[in-house]
Amino acid sequence: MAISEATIESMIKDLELPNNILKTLRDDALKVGVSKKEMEAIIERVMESYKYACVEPCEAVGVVSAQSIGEPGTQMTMRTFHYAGVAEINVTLGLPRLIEIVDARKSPSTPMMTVALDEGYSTDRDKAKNVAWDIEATHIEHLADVTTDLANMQLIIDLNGKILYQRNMNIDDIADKLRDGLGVKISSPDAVENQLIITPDAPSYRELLQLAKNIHAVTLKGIEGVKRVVIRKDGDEYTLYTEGSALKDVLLIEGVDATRTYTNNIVETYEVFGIEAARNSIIKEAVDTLNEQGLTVDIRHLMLVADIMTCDGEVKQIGRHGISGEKASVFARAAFEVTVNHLLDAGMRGDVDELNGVTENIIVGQPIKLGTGDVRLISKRSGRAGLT
Amino acid sequence: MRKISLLDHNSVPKHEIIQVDDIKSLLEKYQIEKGQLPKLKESDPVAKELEAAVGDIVKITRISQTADESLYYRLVIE
Amino acid sequence: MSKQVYTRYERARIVGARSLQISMGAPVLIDDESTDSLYLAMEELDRDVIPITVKRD
Repeated sequence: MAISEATIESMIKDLELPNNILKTLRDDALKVGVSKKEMEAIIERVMESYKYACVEPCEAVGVVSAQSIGEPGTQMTMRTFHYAGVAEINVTLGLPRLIEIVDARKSPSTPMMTVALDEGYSTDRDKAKNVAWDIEATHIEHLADVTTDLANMQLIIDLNGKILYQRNMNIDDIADKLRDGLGVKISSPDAVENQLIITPDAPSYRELLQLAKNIHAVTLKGIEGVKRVVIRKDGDEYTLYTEGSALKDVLLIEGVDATRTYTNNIVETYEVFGIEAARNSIIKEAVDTLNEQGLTVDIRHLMLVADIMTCDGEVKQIGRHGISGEKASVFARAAFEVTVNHLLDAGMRGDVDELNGVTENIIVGQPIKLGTGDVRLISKRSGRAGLT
Repeated sequence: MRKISLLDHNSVPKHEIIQVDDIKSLLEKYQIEKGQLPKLKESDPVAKELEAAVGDIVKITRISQTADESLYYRLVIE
Repeated sequence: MSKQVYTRYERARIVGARSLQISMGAPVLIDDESTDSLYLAMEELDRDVIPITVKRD
């Protein structure tokens, strides 16, 4: 006789299992229809399997993770150094990208943002385009021809009216931006439409040529650092992909959905959204990089790496300046890199090594504190009938 | 300027400061000292938003791919 | 206190140590015909009669 949903629910609710296992257990039990006795047997078997699958104390999880990521990594070396594009934007992939992630670089070699749009903007192509123009950094060369007029010692800027209209800009804005950016006098002649004349403070050739160079660096509209924005339709929603990353500025733009906007720059994610978001970002980027190569690494290994990188409240790299460099033991640090310097420094300071870690004990030739090596046996006083 | 709550973001899991009374039972459950917990910087954007002070413990409910939901605790440090 | 739960590493060490004792002639604490010290040690662990435990800190 099958038992009811409420009975199943009450039987499994106090089990120490993750939610998704509980859910599968409940759904499957309902679908098949089990008796109380069967359910008890099932629960017992599930608990047994779950306990068996759990990591036990003393297990060398770090080494297992390192190997599980390292082995596919060797295949990456041979296969990639290529770039593949997402929406015509090049992103670093393969081993270089993986190294970038674990090194916690300040900025990746190809920063990229995925900008989701608010309701109302995401389905309207024109509105999406306007947001894109607000984000993409616009420089003078996008809008105008700049001519250096040596005879009259001035720069003549002929703006393209059509492009201005497209990008929702006007000539006064540009004049203001240029005036602020360059600190020079700008006039617009009445005779010619859409023309600006820039005259340098001092009438020298050097000054003029310098000006002609500097004018290209002024951001007239959009966010500095965002080189290009591509609009793509994902499902029935427009999403923007950007080359270059400036999360903080993008979030403030009207029409951007701040809750779904993402950057592949981990350190930037940390600065804007905090350590937990950075951890998620490390996992996502690492998984994506590996999957793109057709390699499957269990996500738990990557989660461990991400946890270690973020456990001190900031994103630390795996390497000399991060995790490995901060080890307490002199031997452990010496074993990693620049051996002599570490030993010399420790000797001068008179450091003491407690030999608590794995590396140190291998160096001095002792059993390491892992697995059975981390168990200390003592004799039990009352011989029979278990512990008192 | 728009005001954005960081906690609304997709990749920011739920953070909450746990009550002082609950700290003891938490540490007992895991048999650890406060200092052994993972850390959260006071200057962390999320810590700022929660107005967490040094010494607080923040409970984080992570959405995990392997366990659906998992709990994590961080000690707020300077 | 109920029967202590050991990790697999602790079990390995306990059984190993006990098995060595038995093979060196220590009295066996269970009724069994077998002469296999390893089997005896595991059987003893199952019945929770081994006078060895672990120190955890």
